[in-house]
Amino acid sequence: MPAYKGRKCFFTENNITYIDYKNIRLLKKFLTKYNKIVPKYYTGTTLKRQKQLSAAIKNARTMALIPFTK
Amino acid sequence: MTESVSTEKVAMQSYEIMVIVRPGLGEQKTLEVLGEIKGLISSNGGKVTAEDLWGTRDLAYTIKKHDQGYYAVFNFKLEPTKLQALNKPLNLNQEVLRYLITKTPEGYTLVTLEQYAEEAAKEEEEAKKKKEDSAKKKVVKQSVEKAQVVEKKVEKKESKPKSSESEDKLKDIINDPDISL
Repeated sequence: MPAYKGRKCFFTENNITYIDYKNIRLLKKFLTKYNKIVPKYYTGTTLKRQKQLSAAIKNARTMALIPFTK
Repeated sequence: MTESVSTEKVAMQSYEIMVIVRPGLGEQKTLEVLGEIKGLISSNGGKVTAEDLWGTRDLAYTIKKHDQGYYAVFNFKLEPTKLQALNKPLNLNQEVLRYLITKTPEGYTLVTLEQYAEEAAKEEEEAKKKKEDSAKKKVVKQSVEKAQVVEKKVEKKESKPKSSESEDKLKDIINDPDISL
């Protein structure tokens, strides 16, 4: 979970335009320890990327790559 | 205008399908099932462009009383109108636990599970290096701080006799017979 202060959008920093639901390691950076999606006011993700991210996480959940809850 | 559109060939859209096949079928049977799916795509005028077989892996939660599943990913091109035709056979297939069809952006190339694993290994190594570096820095900092503390202690020791001097003075004053308290 990225820090609250000095936060910057991870995806714009790394020039990621397509968030893949198969990249479990990347998605797990944006989940709490109870596997909930971290709000964008904590991570600093831009709105566009946050929407893509949540869609990717939900896809990964339906394919049993990530659990729904813990 | 409308005529020209209707005569034009419908543009192919690129998609990606991920399938979870029931585990414990044996290699031949699973490959048969996957072959069926590929056949389904090609029979609808599609084209399989890339494939990645993940193999059996643990599911995050049980699906139809199964703890494991055989994962497979295919990239294919298909006319958007034909996409609906894939759903019914996939739903009816008893061996397919679950499937997911997603649109892929232009210029997308399939990233295999191995590539992601390699990436993860690289990241881990970098993180380890960073940790070691910061640990070294900490050690240096600590040693510097320790040296400073030692210096301070030395200073304190030097300052102690001063206080004893003042105590002596106090005692002298107290013991002075000329001053009555």
